[in-house]
Amino acid sequence: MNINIFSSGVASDVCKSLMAVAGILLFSLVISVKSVGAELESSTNNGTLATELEDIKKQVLKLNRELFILEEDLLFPASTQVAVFVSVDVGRFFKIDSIELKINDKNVAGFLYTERQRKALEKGGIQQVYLGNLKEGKHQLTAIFTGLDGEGRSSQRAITHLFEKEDDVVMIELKVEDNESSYRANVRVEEWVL
Amino acid sequence: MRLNVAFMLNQIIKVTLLSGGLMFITTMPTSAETVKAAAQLEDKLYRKALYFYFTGNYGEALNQINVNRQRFNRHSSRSRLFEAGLQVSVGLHHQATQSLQALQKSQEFTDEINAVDHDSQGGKSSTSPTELMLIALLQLAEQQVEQGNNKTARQTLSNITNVPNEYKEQYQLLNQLAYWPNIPAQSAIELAQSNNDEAMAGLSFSDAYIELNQALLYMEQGEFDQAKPLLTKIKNTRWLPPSKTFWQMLFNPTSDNQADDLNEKVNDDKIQQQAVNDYAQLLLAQMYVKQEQYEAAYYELKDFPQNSPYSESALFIFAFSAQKIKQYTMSRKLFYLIKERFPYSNLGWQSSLLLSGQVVEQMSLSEGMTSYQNAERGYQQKLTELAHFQQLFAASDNVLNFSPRKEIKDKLEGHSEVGVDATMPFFINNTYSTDSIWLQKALLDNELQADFQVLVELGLIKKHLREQLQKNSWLKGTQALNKKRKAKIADVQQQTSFRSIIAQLTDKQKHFEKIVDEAQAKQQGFVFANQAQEEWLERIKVSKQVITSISGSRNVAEYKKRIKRVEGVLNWQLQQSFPERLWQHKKQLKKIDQLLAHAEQQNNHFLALTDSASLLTGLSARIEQSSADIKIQLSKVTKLRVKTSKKIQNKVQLFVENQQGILEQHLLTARHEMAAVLERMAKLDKRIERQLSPSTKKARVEKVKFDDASKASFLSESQQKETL
Repeated sequence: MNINIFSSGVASDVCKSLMAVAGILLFSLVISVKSVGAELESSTNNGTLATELEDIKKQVLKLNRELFILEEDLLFPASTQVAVFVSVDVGRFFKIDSIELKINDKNVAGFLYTERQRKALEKGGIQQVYLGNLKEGKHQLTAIFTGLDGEGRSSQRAITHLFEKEDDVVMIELKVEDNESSYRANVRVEEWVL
Repeated sequence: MRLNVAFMLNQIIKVTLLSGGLMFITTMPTSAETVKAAAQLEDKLYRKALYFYFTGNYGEALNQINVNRQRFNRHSSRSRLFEAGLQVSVGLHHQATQSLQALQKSQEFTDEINAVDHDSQGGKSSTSPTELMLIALLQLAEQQVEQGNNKTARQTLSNITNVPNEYKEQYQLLNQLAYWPNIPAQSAIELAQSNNDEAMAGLSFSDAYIELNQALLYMEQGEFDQAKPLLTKIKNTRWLPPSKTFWQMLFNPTSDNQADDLNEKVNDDKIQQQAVNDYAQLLLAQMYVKQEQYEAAYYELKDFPQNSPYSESALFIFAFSAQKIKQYTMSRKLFYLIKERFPYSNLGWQSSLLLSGQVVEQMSLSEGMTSYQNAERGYQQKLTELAHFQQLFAASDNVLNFSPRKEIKDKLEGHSEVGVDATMPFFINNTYSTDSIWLQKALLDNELQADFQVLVELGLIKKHLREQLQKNSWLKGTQALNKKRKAKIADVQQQTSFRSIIAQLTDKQKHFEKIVDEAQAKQQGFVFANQAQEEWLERIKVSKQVITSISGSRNVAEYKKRIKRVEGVLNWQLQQSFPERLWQHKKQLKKIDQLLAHAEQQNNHFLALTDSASLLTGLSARIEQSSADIKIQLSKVTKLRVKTSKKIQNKVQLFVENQQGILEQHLLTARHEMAAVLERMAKLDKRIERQLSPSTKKARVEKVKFDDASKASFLSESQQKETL
């Protein structure tokens, strides 16, 4: 045993938990333990605190949902609501870095992806990148994706989509899909059927 | 003892994803397009929630699932299971239990179980909903065990009726922990015995934990002979590197990111493996010490890893064993090292005493005396520091502000964590950490750490609720503006009579339609004759009548010829302009149509806006209700914060008293030992005195008297301190 370079605090969570169990025996040599009664009481108190906290969390979650729906009802009613989503299928030939959205040639949204967000898309997540209001009628959506291609070179993909806004909500998904035959990714547009 | 929670949850999600796909395939009717569209929408909404989960925003993921249910009426079994998994991971255990129980009872879920089981062809790769349910229940039980809620963990485990082989170890480990220190219905001993036939190389972490726990039980019961082989086996076991799970391979197998994740997992597994080996080694040495086999303990720990999390305990046992087997140089150095390296640890404090005792025995009484005096000073210093800490902590209004680490401070002040998009940060791990050494030591108590965590989360919830309140008042303002806008629109509508405009336009439309229809039917230019032309036509008509009336008395051939010529010219002119006029009329009609459509649209729009007054009233009520609810929750949070703070203050007070007791005990021991050393020094001095020659005897006697007086004075002072 080299006694000069001992260091503490390198334990992972798992190790720390193990250490706590080990402590039961090691410290039993020198420290008197609390009475069983006190432990039971403490455990009950902890249970009550945890239950109260859980109840508050549950209520906060409910409030969040109510506010979210309220906000949508007020600011983005169905008659004018347009939402744009992004999804990635595999992502081997295009690593998404950013997206720029235009509706009727007007910039409406832009998003820079972190590594984690990109991975979330590649794992199957769908991200809402824009939520806004449009009048009834015909509109044009343009999306420009920037990223790295399969060989790590900077690359762009763009798509234009014409759509008609009617009385219902319009939800448009921009799907970045790998094309195995061309070894490149394409962007496909899908309007959700509600 | 804890399993890798993140990995488990990841597993749940991946399994859920996969199974979702399976469910989708098996339950999708091929003919019904609407059902297909509904399933696709459900899938997309579910993946929206998944995005939040993968970005670490668990609260938002839960929110999305709830919105999917409330707004779109989409809540399949897999999203319910996903919701339950999320509830488990964010600590909503009660809700998770309810969700899982409801899911188990649901007919839809049972149908899916049957459907998938039939389609899976008995293959292991098809994860059935039953398996998903099992994973969720195991995960829930694990968290309950971690929080010390063993009773609820036992209840959760009792809901599991069937455990496939691959989950047996995890189930039995959790069972063992939930019933600790009693033996569960299906005991770990049985498991350990049944697993003895398996090759040691194939032993999993769960096996090791089960056996470690078993060895601990044996040791507590004094059955060392049974504990020893178990510990030796665990200590010498080397684990196989973790293999890719089925779900990892299936889910995006070519992605580099997945490989990164796997590397992290491999590192984590290595640390875990080493920790298990070290812990077994430490327990073995501890067992030898209990049996007074110090030499065995010494050699057991001789090659103990330097960077182990158990180095402090191992070092102490190693030094203690070295002292017992008379390896004094080694033990002295080690005790000194422990004392210096861990000045606030109980083992460090004990080391001071053991070191001083050894100095007295091995070196000289005066050096031993000095060592004890150093130890005494050390204990007194720690007692002073402890009293100062106690005073400061008791005086702090908000215990969270008592020397928190920067990351905790940042979190409470709202600086977001790098790489996590958490809009509800109270749903992610909020372990409290501090710069105060005494508080760090107090936080080794899991219950106190949990209390601090509750307080941190309450702080974050309070902050979140305040933000929600601001948002709510902003919505209220927006809604008021909306009301004003609608009132204005209503005024405009009243001032502009859209109905009369529409009526006028309709008349015009009919008029033009009639002209165009007539023109198209007759193809005659006179339909579009202007006023002058119409006058000409009228004159020709009158002239013809006159000619007819006088035709019997006069020669009208010349008149008829002239009339015919004029009529021909006029018709020719009208026919020439006919196509152009027809086109102009059609254009005019189209324009009127457009104007009419626009007017109708405007009218409908205004009508709709007027009708939406009731909707606005509904929104107002909802905003008011939200505001009231937020205020109720804020008040609850405040109350719970006060309660938790009080509890923490009490616990820290108990900790301080406990530490003071230990230090005072050590101080007392040090002083007793010092008194004993002084007595020994006195006896030694007397013996030396007797050996001295008579010529110097007188002088020596005086010196001894002086020494005795000073020692007596020191002893009486020490006794007074002890009495105090």
